[in-house]
Amino acid sequence: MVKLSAEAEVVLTRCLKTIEGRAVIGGGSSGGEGGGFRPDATAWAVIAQRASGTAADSLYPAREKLAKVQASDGSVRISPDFAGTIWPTPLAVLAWQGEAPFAEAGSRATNYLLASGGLHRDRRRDDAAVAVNPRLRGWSWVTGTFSWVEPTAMAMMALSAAGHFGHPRVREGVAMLLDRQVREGGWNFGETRVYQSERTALPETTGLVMVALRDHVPRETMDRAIVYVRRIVGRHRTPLALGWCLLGLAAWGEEPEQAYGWIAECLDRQSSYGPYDTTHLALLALACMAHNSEVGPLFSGVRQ
Amino acid sequence: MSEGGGGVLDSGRVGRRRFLRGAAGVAVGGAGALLWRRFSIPGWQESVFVAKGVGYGGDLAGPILAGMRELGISEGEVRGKRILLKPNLVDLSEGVVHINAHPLVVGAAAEAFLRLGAGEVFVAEGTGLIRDTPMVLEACGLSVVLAEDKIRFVDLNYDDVFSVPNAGGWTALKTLAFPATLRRADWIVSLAKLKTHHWAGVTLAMKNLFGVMPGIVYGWPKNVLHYAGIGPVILDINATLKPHFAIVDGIVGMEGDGPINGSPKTVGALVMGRNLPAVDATCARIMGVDPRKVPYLAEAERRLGPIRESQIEQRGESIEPLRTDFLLHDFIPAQRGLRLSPARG
Repeated sequence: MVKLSAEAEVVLTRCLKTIEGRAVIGGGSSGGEGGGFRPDATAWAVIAQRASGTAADSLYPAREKLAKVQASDGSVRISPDFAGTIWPTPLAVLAWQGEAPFAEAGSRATNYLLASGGLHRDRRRDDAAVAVNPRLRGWSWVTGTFSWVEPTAMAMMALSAAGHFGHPRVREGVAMLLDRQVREGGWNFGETRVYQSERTALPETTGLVMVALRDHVPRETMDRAIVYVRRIVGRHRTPLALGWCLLGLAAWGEEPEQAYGWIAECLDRQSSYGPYDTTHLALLALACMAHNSEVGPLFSGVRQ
Repeated sequence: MSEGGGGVLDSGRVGRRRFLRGAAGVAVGGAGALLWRRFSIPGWQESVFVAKGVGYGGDLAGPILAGMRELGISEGEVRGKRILLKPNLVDLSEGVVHINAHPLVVGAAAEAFLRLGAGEVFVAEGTGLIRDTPMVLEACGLSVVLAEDKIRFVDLNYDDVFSVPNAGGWTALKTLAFPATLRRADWIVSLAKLKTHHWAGVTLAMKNLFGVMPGIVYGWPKNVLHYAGIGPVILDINATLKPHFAIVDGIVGMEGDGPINGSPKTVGALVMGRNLPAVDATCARIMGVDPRKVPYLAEAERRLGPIRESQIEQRGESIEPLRTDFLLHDFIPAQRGLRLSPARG
């Protein structure tokens, strides 16, 4: 478990208590208060709780629930009713990572990720509208659609944690993410230009990509992104933007002194926006625990 | 601990009669589409109210309330009802008024419904490109209005989900997934922005409802819906959801490369009505766009509502003095040839 300052402990405890309260009968977690099981919320809760030192025995029911809902092709879907919604699969891989009883489930999910991905194709004449290279294959949110930044970054994190760091699909994912970097240095959901308009970066996707590319690219490749996040992180007190910005900076050895205060302020804003989703609280919990260059193990549970 | 089991994403159990009517409409609507192909529905009349000379600094609830009364919305119809306002929120740009539905218009719409006796007015949105919805609320200033007016907000991207048969049938999607919050609303109000759009031609009240579709099912962006066809999906969503009312913020709209990168265009108008195709057709004419040349509006005329001037009773201000031709780019295929004749300089 990561050693934290007293201030960080207070903030972390606020996140974890709410996450614990989201546990549902039958294993796993809900996304919100009073909701039913949701695989992405379950995986995020496991990842955050494991990073905080929760024993594997306590997390067993949640991991088992994820294994129970795993589809025969190895994917983990947001619901069996929505067959194409495979985007929780890398989250499940990370939640199962390093746990022997779930090695087979993890392996099947990993194989699914290696065999799947977003739609890709050669350039067409009408591609003038968008600037990205459609031949570079990453991963999609939902089957049968284009590759986008966030599911690609999450799949790369999961595959790297599962021992496929140098796999050609991961290397292509790196190339795809670098192709989607916008002019100001960061990333958005995955467009750089549409017609004559440059797209701008978003804090949450930039931070996420900084985490995903941590061990795949040299620091100079990330310099512009780091500058962008440094510039904007202090403005944001909402969970995805702040959480991923802090994790992204931590991945590259930077930790703003005010981080815990910002996270506390972000949690306070639930009085305005209502209780945050479990996934967002888990992200903030991980941001609390992020120390210099220790971000990867927070997600995978594996110390290097 | 809460009940797990079947979970929140169970589909097929549709509680609201309105949705059941939508589901039942699949067969009828399908046959109807064949019968009415190439024709509008004769005799279908709708009313649309236009307020002009409106600014963000002035009274906004007054014109909205006046419009609602002019359209025959009575206190008896609204009293005690739960009203869901769905604003168009798409980007983070701070200090600009032409991208998102203006927060003061959202607040004014809430005030108008409350003055008519609504039991609750709340705001709900599932942003399409940005997953951190509170960040968008803060950037555009809506968070301040929500806090001051004590208006509840629901992030539709992470809501519980249910699915219903696609009552439109314009796409190959057999079912559509909606956030459970929509079932708990008595009125769904599309609170749109007057804008051009680089994929759809224009984005108004009908297109704004793309934003109710949950990201948890369709992704960020909602790429499943793009692959199904943006225009046809707009029609399917509207046919299935059957929204009750629309208010379009045309005080300052967007021209050119919308919905994000275009330029501000001042019109000073609010447009509202019960029938969304009629509202959108009126908005299009104000923008100097021929609604019959916007494919999804032309198609809407077959089953969802009239777009011909002869079938829309204009209340409040007439269109002609307000018409302000919005810039349409030739390099954007969806905007080519949309101009309403004769063009205005």
